[in-house]
Amino acid sequence: MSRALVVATLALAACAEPPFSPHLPDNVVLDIARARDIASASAAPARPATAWLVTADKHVVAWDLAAGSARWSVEAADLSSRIATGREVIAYRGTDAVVVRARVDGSERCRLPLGGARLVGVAADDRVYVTLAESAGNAVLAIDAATCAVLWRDAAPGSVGAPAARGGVLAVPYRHQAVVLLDGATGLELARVRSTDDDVLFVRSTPEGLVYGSNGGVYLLDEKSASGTRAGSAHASARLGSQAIKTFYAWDAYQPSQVGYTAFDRNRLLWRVEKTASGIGFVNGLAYLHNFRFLFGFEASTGAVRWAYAHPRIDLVGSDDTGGAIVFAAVDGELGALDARTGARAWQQQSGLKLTGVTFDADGWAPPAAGEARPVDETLAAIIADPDSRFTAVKVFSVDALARKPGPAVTATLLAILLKPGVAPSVSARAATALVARKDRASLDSFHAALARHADFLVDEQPRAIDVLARVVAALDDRTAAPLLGAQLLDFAVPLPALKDLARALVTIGGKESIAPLRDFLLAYRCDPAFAADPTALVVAAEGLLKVGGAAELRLVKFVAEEPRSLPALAQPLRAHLAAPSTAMAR
Amino acid sequence: MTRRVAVALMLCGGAAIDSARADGDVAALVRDLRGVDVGVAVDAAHRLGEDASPRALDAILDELSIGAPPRVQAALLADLATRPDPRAVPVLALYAHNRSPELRKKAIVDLSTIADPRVAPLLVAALSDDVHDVRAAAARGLAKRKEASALEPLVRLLERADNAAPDALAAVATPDIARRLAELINHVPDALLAQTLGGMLHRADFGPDPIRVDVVETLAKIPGADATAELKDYVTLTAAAQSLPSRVAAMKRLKDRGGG
Repeated sequence: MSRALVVATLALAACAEPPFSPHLPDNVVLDIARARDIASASAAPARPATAWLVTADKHVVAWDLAAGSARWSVEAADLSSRIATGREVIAYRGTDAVVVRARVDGSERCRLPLGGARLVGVAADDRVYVTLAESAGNAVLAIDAATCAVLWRDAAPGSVGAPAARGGVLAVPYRHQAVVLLDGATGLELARVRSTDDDVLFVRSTPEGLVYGSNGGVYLLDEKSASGTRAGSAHASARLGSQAIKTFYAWDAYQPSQVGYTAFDRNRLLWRVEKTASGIGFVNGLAYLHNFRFLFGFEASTGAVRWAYAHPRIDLVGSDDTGGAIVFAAVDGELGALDARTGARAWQQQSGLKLTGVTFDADGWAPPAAGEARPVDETLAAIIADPDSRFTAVKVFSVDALARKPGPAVTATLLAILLKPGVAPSVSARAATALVARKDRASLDSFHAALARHADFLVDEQPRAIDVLARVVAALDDRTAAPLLGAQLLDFAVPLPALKDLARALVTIGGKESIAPLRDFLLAYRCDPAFAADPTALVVAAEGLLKVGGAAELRLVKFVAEEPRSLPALAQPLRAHLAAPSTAMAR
Repeated sequence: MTRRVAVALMLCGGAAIDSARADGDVAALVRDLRGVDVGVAVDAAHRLGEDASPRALDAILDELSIGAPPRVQAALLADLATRPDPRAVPVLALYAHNRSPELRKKAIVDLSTIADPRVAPLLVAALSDDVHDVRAAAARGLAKRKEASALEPLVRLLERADNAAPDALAAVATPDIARRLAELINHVPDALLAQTLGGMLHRADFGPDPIRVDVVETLAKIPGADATAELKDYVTLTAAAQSLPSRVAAMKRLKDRGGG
């Protein structure tokens, strides 16, 4: 059946209802399959891999990635959206107008005045499509790519998002819940997908097909989409492996703040999907995180970071997954590409431009084979140690990524983070949690060396992370650490809050060597008002002496509990503890 | 068994300190020390300090061993300053690490009075204390003992620009230290370096005179009034030895500086 006949048939079937009508059916398998077939029928045109660069001095530059040079550059002082790329044109939001330019030379073909309407999004193929929020309602328009003449206009009673076009089919996010598929030539509704499990926050045109989704994952548009559910659809989601970074699969199609080039371009997931036996999966099982200066390739199913790339000093204004490489552009005009599998630097060019945004139009493009990638552990450690204080979240993410890897080298890195002055508290806290959890007995010597360090005015040294180190050796049940823990417990320079961890560690590991420091600590401070507000460390020491000691320690604790000068906040719980049946029985 | 354990066990075992260790006035003072009225306890500690008997010393050490309110501990430590008894070293070693800077300082002062090989390492360790008063007490103690093992730590203390260092370093300095101190010019405050070198020149046991000449020459390299004052002091100090080469050198350097 010819495409025209299909469209005509569909149009007849639904002739009584306009597009976006609430009375039109949704999740109809045949309708969705036909729309998918139409969108897939025409192969993507071959065109030179291009980076559309937006410069700080308000120019649009067509940068030929293969040639390494600008094909043209035009002034675009009023550009205020990301650039949409079509077969022969590019389009973007100008001053109260949609501006259409020729791909070949950048010349302005036409302008569509917006008349005060808010532009929600632009897409292009042979035509240019625009979604608008107007005072009278929302609308979807198709305009001629040469003249900007309106070819058709659909009113939409509900909210519409930024659209995507593929093969003459326009996909429009609708009411945060659906994707409406329109015939690009007529504006007639071909099909509608209504998601029951997720919001629909974006649609994208990819070589694999039309893709839609939310912050929970991506769906490939096919007949399975008719189920409306995650389980029944071709759905994939990437597990980031860390809660540290809030990111997203694609720009929110409804958000006015994400129409233009913003920080949202610098913190997002990059991905491509492919069909699998059970639905879809991420190509090579990998998804990618772009976070300002950093790029990570991670296993989508586990979150394990396979590679990491830290761009020197300068933020990356944009990036993309071409299917063959991860490409990026930096603020200083550098363009680069990484091997998507390994993260190895594969290619770089210097445009010499100061950039504020980039749109890559380079599906399938890949530079020649890359060299060796820097070991991921090294890069993660370098990111964590990066002096740029803006990147706390990505440092925490890197700690999480590193912590998943076994071995003393990683433990040493985590320990170094913990002991380094000036590290953001959230970063060192995550390193601390990881160190305690990994129970790396092979690194005992390193832990001991760190625990052996004391404050020393002569060499300007301060105790660091003593509480964490105490928890680490306690988790390892490392009795050989008792003398070190004891020395720290009796060191005046150790912060008060760390004392309870030291006392707990000594009690946990037990043994005769734990008894003397616990006893000395308890007797030295049992009457000290400095512990009145929080006597936990003393209580832990006393109760610990009952646990790890013998008759002598029991008598000592009884003395502390009953001696009238002992802090009431210490004596009272000890008396209660001593009177408890379990303690009495143990005695 | 340490005093701390022994006393605690004795107390917990029901033995009364007044029958085991003390009698008469000491027993009464100990009872006051153990009372909940800190003022009365502090007063009892002072009176215990006035008692030169061995029983009183035992009582003081026992009370310090089992812990007491900080004010009482401070009073008991003050008592020990006049009793340089080696038996106090283990207890004072614990107080040298107490969280209260005041108690640490008192323990260091007490230790400084005791002739015992266990003391010097404790005093040297106290040079690393983050509280200046404690470091200064330790430095004074080490100076008084002319403790050679303190030389390197005291040099580091000087490098940290601590004014506790000069007098102590001058007291323990060896002849070869002058050259090392010369390397610290422009790295530590001129006044502290000049005070250190001047202190060395004031030592009657420092020499021979060619070494003093070295010290004078080092002193002369330090700019400013402090070095000039130290040179003048040295010239005054050696007035009886007009032809002493180090004095002659000092006078020459003073003249060069326009201060002669």
